[in-house]
Amino acid sequence: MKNTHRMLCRLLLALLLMGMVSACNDFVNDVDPPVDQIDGNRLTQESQMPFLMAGVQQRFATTYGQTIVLADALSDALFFDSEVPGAVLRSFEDIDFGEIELDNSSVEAQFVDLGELRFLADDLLRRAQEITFDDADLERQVFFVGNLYGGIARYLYATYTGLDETTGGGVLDGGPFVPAREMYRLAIERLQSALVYISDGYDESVLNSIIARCQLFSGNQAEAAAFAGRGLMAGDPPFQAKYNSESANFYWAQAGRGQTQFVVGDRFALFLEDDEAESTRVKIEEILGFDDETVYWRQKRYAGIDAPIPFISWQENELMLAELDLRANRVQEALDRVNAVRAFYQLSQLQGFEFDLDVLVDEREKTLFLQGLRLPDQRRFDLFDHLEEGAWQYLPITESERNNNPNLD
Amino acid sequence: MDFGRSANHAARARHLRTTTLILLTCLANTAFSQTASVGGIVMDRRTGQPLAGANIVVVGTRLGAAADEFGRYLITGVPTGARTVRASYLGYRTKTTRTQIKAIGALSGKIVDNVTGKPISGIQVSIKGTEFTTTTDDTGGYDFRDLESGSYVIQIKKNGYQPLESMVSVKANEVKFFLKEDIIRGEEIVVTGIASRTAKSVAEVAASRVHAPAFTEKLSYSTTSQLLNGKLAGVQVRQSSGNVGGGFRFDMRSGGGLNGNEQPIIYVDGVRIDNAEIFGFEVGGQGVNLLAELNPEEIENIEVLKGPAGAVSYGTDGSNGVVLVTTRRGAYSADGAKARFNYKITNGWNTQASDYSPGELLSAADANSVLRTGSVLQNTLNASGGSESVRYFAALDSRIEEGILKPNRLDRKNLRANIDFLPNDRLVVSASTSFTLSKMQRPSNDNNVFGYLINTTISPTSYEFVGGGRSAIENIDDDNESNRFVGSLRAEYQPTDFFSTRVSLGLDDHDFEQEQLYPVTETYNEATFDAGLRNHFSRKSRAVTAGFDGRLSISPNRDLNVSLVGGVQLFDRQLETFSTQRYDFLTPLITTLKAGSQQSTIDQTSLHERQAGVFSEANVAIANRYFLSLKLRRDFASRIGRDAASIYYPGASLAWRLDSFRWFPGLLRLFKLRAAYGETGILPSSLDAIDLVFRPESGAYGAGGIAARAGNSKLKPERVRELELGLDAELGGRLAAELTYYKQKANDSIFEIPRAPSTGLPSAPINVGEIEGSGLETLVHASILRTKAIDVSMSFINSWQRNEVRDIGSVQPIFDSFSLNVIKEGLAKHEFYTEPFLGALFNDDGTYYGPDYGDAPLAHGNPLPSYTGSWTLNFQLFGSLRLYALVDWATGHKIWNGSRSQSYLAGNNPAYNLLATQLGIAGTFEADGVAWDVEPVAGVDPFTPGTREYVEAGEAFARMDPFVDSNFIEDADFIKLRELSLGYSLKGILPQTWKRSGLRDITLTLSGQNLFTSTKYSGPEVEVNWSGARDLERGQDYFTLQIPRTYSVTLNVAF
Repeated sequence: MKNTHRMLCRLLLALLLMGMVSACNDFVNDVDPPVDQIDGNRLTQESQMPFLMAGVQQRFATTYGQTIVLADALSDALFFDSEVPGAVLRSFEDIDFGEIELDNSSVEAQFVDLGELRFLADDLLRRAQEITFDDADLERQVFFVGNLYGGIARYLYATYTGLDETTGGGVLDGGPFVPAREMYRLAIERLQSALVYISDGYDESVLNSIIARCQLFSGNQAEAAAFAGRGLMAGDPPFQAKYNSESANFYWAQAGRGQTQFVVGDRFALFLEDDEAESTRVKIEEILGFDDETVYWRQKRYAGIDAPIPFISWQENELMLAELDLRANRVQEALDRVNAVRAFYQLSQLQGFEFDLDVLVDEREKTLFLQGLRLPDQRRFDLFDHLEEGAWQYLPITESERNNNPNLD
Repeated sequence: MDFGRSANHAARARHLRTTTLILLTCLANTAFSQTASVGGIVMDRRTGQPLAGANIVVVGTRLGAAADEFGRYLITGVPTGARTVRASYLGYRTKTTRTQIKAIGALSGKIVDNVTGKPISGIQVSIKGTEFTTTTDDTGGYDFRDLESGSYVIQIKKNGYQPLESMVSVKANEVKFFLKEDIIRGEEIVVTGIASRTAKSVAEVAASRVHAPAFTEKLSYSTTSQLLNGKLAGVQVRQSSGNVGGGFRFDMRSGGGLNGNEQPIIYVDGVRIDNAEIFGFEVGGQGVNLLAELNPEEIENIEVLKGPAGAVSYGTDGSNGVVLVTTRRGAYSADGAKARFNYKITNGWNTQASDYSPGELLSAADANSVLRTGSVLQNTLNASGGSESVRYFAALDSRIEEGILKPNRLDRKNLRANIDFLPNDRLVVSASTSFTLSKMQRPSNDNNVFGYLINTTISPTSYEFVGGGRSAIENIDDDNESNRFVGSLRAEYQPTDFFSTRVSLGLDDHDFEQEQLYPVTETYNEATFDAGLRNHFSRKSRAVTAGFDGRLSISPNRDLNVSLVGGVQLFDRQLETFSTQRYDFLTPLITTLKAGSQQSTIDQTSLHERQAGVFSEANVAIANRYFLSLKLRRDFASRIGRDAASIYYPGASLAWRLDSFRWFPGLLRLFKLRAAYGETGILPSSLDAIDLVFRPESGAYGAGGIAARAGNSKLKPERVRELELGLDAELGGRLAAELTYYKQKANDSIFEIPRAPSTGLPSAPINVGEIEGSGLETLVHASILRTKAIDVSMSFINSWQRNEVRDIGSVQPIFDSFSLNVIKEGLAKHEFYTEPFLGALFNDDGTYYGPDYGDAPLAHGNPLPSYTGSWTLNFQLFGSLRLYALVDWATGHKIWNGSRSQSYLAGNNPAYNLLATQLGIAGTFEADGVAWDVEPVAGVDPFTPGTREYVEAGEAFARMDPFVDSNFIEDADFIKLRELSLGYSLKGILPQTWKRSGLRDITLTLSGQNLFTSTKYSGPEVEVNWSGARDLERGQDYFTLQIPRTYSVTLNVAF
């Protein structure tokens, strides 16, 4: 009897303990999910793809904005002067001088965003491949967006980041350094994949123009000409990054009316002095330094917080074709293309005797004013002479990447 | 009559309670009364000073009293008979006296069953050696009359009950207590576990306690951090900046594990409270610390379990220790519910402790001009009292304090009401409630381009970063408002002498709102700000703490006491935040959010988390000599990965009182060896257990999904183990010493491992690596001189700690965002790790080229001190004049002076500018860009390159190169006169008429804090950001406000 009683007590105690353990377990797992974040494993349905596509596009906009401001700062398009009201960020100053520490915070922010853009685009494709879509048009859009922006991310690595001062290229997913030429190839591969999922001729033209640029920057002139020939044409709207007040145009925010950390080079004012009509391309305005006397020039191409930034346009496509014509000694064809662009801006027509590659470079600079293309042009046309020898010609692969990527020595 | 050591007595008393019959013998003042009064005086045995506030209780009843300012006490309604009366007073040995509460010629009483409490009738009661014999009536009562004064033995017999004899004496009911100082505070009851309390003299772990009133009566503390500064061995509490109401951080021992925020969990009256530092829309790095809302005037005790050895029963989150705050409570007073009031008013001034020197900064005058003298005004009124069944404490407090940087201001109102209900001897129900309304304005500072110090100490031309100049900064409004309710309800029930149970429920309900406005009329050179900008941030936090435990006490024989404890603890927390930003206002007259024409930010977050723990303890005391505890806790938490294993935390501890042996030298009144081992952990962050988390990011494409956080479903808590060895000793009643050595080891540390940005994934937490730490804590307290006229005592605390990261797996060294502090194998955590300065380089033509620094980073010291300590002096003259001083120090640590490097770069340092001029590079693009902004010093000719003076200038200039971080890592050893107060009590000279009207005491105190600092550190404040204001960053001084010097005058009136 006594043993039975003892056994019953032990059993009750054990049951009580088990009950408590079970209750505690249930208690801690019965929590409300957060309202502002979601487990990525739940984003596997067709209906969630628009949310992820918008994320890719949003990251493209922020990445592209940062990239071209920093690239223009490193080029001779923009400069930093602490006498300009609003110019306070030392990391910008370092970029302007091409003396960029590997832990430069502004470069770090851009590099992180670029990594995210690449991941989000690739992740979108990975998720989409595991879904059986009911909506064929949505499926096409998803694969188009994933490939397009995955390609653009690789293009940005190839064009703007570098392992050292003069070696362009990037890193994908913690892998080894990928030289620019190979990175362009990877970009083109993605962009060509996107061609499979276009919805109309415009999409096709945009992709061809971007591929043409990649080929051109890779030095593949024949391929560049082929794609540019199927690229955007006069009248086509530009393919551009979009902004609003919640996601500001970085040019406006850091090198414009939002805050003037950078001003444009004085030669842009000279362009206007030479020809007032250039104001249709070179949009700048005068501001004064702290001394209220020194005149600086600030861009007003992106005058508002929500001003879109062109990524590629028919004008650039024409100028690429003009360059390729010129390099192939088809001077008149090249001149015609340049004049077509100038006509759009209501500028006078250039004559044959005043047209050569230098003029074309100037035309590119004015037409593609503050689109981040001056830096690759300075490198391509051997014009990178505004900084001391040894200055960075790329935005460096950052210290955080070097510290945390075992595949980088 | 002294019954000897209280622990012996307690053991004997417990033994007696297990008998089945209880005797209540009563002597009355009159022949027919069953109750009487007992009164007397409580004094210091050596000095004869009355011990006002001493607690006197009649053991076994709910009766008690607090001694008045003359040490007198009176307890009425005491059942007549043999009674144990006990007097206790903080810092003195408890004295227990067995006495007869008598009435001349009469002896009466009542017999009840010990278990049922029912009266026992028909029991024979006789007085031994006399013919007096009687039988109890229906109420259990008996009554003898016509007795002579003297001692008697009462005999009680009844079948079924053990016979009992008890000695009683018939004499006067006056009991005087002359207490000896308890130099080691061995009789203080300290916390040793979640459901365990024991006397410090038998505690198996290092018990650290700050008795707050002992300090708040001398100084007016703004925050709990100030209250704890220098008071505890192995615990440092440091302000992150000089902002009033700003952040502070704990540094516990050698820092526990590798991960987490290294902060302890904090309970106030059993409620786990939110101790976050809220940043909202930042003003440059300094947040609002929620612990700043805790009013030091309401605190009775702060106890700290410093590591896993002591905190094992608190489970996960306890690896950085547990801080237990108990607030003040009411005490029984002889005059029933009559309240005792205390009013305290403090008027003070916060002033600049350290001037900026023109020899260091060209802009020193501007920097000094922005610092002001801020006023401090605090009013506190509290009331306490109690009867047999109800005790209460209530306090109303207002503190308005201005910081030294406009517009920094704190306006804090605290209301507290604590009530204890004691309906019978077996049940106590306690309720604690507090409400805090806090308003704070933060100044713009630190890493903030609109900050005062950045604008006045970087460049020789002040305010060049902000268009509108000083007024643009002054007119930034940053208003933070906090409403907080912390309440708890606890019931303790002891149905039998061997079993007790406790249930508790607590709530910490906190609402925080921040309104930040950049005025429309000011210019900031940023469009977002130039037409006005309003930020709104709100945060709601609700945390519920609930617990239940039971204790079973068994005494198989008089030398063995065993208690078994089991219980469950639950914690539920919900947190919501909302933030929005609008700008571009068309009129300065309307600046509501709606009036802003542009929306730039809107965000909302929520968090719901739960924790639970099932714990058990077994405590064994053998012959009042050996004390052993075993503990085990099983933890559950919503933050733990679903694929992680079950979490158990074991612990064991042992204490050995050598002084209990006869052979032990009597001079050592207490000599205890102790050893404790325990394990706890740190939980992952919320959502860490989810592999990949997406959040929406709004833009022109809509709100798209962005990868916000990478997690790890196998994540388990970091596990921290600690072994603690120590001894406590008291020598001759004059000297007390506590020595504790500990060794900590953490593994499975949770760490945010930064991923290569090219992965596109955020940093992810993993269980990685190992860290070891150890330390030695010493506390010596000496009573130097104790006479009727003079009382002098001193305390000395010294702590040493070290830690070393042993393994971080395959992970690369982990840097903070400024790449200065590192987590790296072979180094202490947070070590400064950067390229070393090697010298100056010169071109072939002898001109200066730049600094030479190493290719690879090296360790340059640690931001956390190896040694910390304090020295405290208490001096008292005639019990009226009191002098108190606290000096503390820290050595063996470094600070990176980022402010200095920036001022060099901008040409704001005369010595740097002179060298640049002498080198001929001031204002040029030479020398790696370090002298671009330097104006050449007028009248100074450049040296000739290649000459000795040129080379020396080059070497000195290179050593100041602002791009070489190691040039700015400085020794930060210091010694501070932290606190000083001089008080005078008018109690002895108060007119009798005032005393009769109820006035008990008036005390006037003059005090100062942060009065003097000696350090080699070149910045204005050696302590700022010692512990960092942000994760991973430690010891980085980047335009952080200095801690002010505070003077105050306090008037305290007791009535």
